[in-house]
Amino acid sequence: MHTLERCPDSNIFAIPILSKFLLYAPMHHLAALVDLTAARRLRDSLLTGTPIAHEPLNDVARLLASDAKAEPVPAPKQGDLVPPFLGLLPTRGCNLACQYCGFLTPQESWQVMDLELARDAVDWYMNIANRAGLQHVEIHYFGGEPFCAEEVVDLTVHLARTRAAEAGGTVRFEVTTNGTFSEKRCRWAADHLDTIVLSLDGPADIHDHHRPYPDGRGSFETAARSARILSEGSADLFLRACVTSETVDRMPQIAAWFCEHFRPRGVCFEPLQPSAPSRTVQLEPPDPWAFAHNFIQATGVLESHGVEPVYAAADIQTRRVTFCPAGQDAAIVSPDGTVSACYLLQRDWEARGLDLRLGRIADGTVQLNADAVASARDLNVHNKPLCARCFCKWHCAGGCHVNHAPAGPPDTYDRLCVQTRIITLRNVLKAMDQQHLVWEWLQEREAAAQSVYQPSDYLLDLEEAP
Amino acid sequence: MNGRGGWVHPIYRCTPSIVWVRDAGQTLAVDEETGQAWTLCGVEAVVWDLLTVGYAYRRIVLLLSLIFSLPAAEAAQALDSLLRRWREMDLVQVSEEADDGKPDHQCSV
Amino acid sequence: MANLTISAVCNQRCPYCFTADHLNGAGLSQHFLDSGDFEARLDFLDRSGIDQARLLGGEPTLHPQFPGLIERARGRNKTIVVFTNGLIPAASLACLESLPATACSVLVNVNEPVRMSRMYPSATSEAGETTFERQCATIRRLGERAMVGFNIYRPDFQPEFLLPLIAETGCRPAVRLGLAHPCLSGENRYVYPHQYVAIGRKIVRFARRAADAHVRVEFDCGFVRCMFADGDLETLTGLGADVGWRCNPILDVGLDGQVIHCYPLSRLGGLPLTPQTDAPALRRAFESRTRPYRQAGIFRECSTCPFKASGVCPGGCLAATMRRFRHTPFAVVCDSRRDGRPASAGSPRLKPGVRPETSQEAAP
Repeated sequence: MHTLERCPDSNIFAIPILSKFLLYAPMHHLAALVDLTAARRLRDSLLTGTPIAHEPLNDVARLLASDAKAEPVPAPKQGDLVPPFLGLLPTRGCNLACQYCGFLTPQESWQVMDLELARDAVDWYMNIANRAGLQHVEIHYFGGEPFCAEEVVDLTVHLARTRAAEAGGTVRFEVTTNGTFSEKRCRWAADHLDTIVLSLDGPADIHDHHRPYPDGRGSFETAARSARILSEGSADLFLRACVTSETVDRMPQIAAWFCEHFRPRGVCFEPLQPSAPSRTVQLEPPDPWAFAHNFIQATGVLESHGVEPVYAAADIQTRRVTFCPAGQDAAIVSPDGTVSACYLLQRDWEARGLDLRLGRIADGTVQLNADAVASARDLNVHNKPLCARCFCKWHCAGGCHVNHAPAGPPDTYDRLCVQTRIITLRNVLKAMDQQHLVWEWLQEREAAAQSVYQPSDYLLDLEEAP
Repeated sequence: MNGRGGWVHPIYRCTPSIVWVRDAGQTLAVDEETGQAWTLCGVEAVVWDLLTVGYAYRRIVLLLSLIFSLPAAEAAQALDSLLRRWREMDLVQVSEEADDGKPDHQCSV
Repeated sequence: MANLTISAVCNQRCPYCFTADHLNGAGLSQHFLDSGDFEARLDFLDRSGIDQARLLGGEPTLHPQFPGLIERARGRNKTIVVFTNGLIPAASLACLESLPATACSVLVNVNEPVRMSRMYPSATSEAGETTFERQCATIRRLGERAMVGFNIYRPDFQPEFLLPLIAETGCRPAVRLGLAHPCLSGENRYVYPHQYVAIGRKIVRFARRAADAHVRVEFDCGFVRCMFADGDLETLTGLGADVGWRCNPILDVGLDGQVIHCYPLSRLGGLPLTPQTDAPALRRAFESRTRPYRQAGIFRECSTCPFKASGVCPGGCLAATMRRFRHTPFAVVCDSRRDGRPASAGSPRLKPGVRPETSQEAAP
């Protein structure tokens, strides 16, 4: 029997919930509600190897003590670079002037990817996939607004499909878009793409305020029209709504309105990521407790309609070392041929002291820097002290490396940590059919805060009896 | 050439009674009036898609050359041949128009 | 099988009603079928070898001569099947009550009580009964002649209210579940194919509760194989559910004597009912007319689906499938020169696809 003393990277957590503890061991696929006495007995048994007299509890202890019964801890990528998907940035240009957008770049820099470059990127990726024996590949489109360079999208969709068919494989396409394209293009997207993430912040009063055209006109009518067409089409439509301090209390209402009017496959609520533009217009991110509370309420609405609520950092079905493309070996090709690990702007990485460039595609050849690939792979939760003792670590993996990189010690959870911990807790309790406890717990604000700000969630660190 | 010495170009238009749907790996087209049906795969499906999105002839040639690794001349021949075959199959109808020096475009429908 | 429309009038306004295209846009000159035409319909059933007279509308029981029509059909030894919303006038209800249960089936379509007040023009009767109460009263009086039907037109449906209704009214211990399908116009309320899987899971949960109450679940048309996981399908079969993946010409005979494939496809056009036509010939004609569209299904993947290829599943509702088809007018100028040289196919520098509309737009 292995004891926890020999496993410094413990993956067994205990989080206080009202008068009980949520025992959570994601690698063992185990969650249980136990009282303090049982939690301490488990801890002691795991530390000393001493069996517990209570047979069911002893069974749990044996399960937790056995590495053989646990899923391996996710590890960073190694070996040859095999991207899980090819990211394409057809252009950084965009036809909207969203109030909070940190992606805005000067018009002069609105380069559109050359068609030959796009072809080379797809061919390179498909060759890697073939060599690695992958039967299924994916291409994701980011921007700017990808459909501001629609010819690149058309070329690469058809090219990738042709190449995949030649290799006897399949290809899926995903795009993140503002949905302000023509109806013809909208129907094309519904026909050809597999996942469409369409930014729609809510009804017209919210959406037009957040996401106007440069001349001040609202974009709601067109985006909503696109959402209606896409929701009836064959692609999976996910609506992505940016939430601010002004709109957070309307999340359940927005969720209901989405379900009624658009019937998406899923809805993703994302708290505002502060940026220079958002600060200029005094748009603030929501309070994390309010966000989590309203997200959970919205989730109830969405689930009753069979719509998937998305808060990726709290996806307990996924165990990972990195939340975003960076660290997953993703290769994202910019209009100028730069291959990077991240689709955010280079100036944003550099502000964090990161260089996420991996290499370059030029004149039909791809050159990657092995050291750069290794550095990108080091962007994982194993190297994040803040996350070390958090029960969310294998799902959240520390969030975005660029936008969420708090440098503090383990108990300095920030806004994103707080809402992630609350929502993850809800998801675990829901999986146990105990979601009613969430509301009881959230109402006891002081007790909830104690859970949320607990410096260590390790069962090992459960304090001794006074 | 036409009587004024200009070039005459065929215009291929979608037959008005044709409806179509894009499925996994193929495009299905049906003539609502006759009940005739066609399954378009590979390059046919690509060309149909580019036409319905609104690409002009020269851009289709360029895109075909990139997708199928063809020299431009061969891509153009393939496109011409396909359009002629579709005309025979009544998927498209053809008319002719004199070139008045208009830039490369899809004409109004 | 063939359905006879005897009334274009309805006293409800269900949002999913699939007669939307047929009855609303038809410009009908009559609202009820006259007796002579009904006799012709019965002749059609006779020569088609159909022993059921399936009556629908609108609301068929609103026909002023409903009892008389029933008498005529019974005179031809037809079993009576009526599709109704349960708000039946007294005379029509008495007529149905008088029929033996072996010769009469009344499918009463019931919607969730909480949604009815939004749906119906008059939610309460003069006696102060709600619509739901009136429906329950009807079902109670009809007893084992009645069976409840429930149409799923929203993914957040909750059919559990049907179980105590069935227990209390003594009607047949079964629920006929229908999926609300689109008319070709799309103007009625319907569920989208991508919602089917989530709906399928809820159906399985309901079927379990129904089985506990000794109630069987039956499927109407348009359900698809892939909306149920293998395990769920086993569960349904084990619970005795009448599971089926069906879509074929119903043959709805309209007031105007035109026979249509089914109400959702009324815009496809109909075939005339003549003294020579019979149901098998009509069915063959509609199958031939719609065959080109049957290669596809409600999902992209249907055309390559093994269930469809083997004939297990037809690919879902044909109206939903046909709505996927569209016409796109295009016209391309073929710039091929006489000498065969194509236009230059170099790689021009592309302008950004969409420029912002600003007052400082740069001059071209």
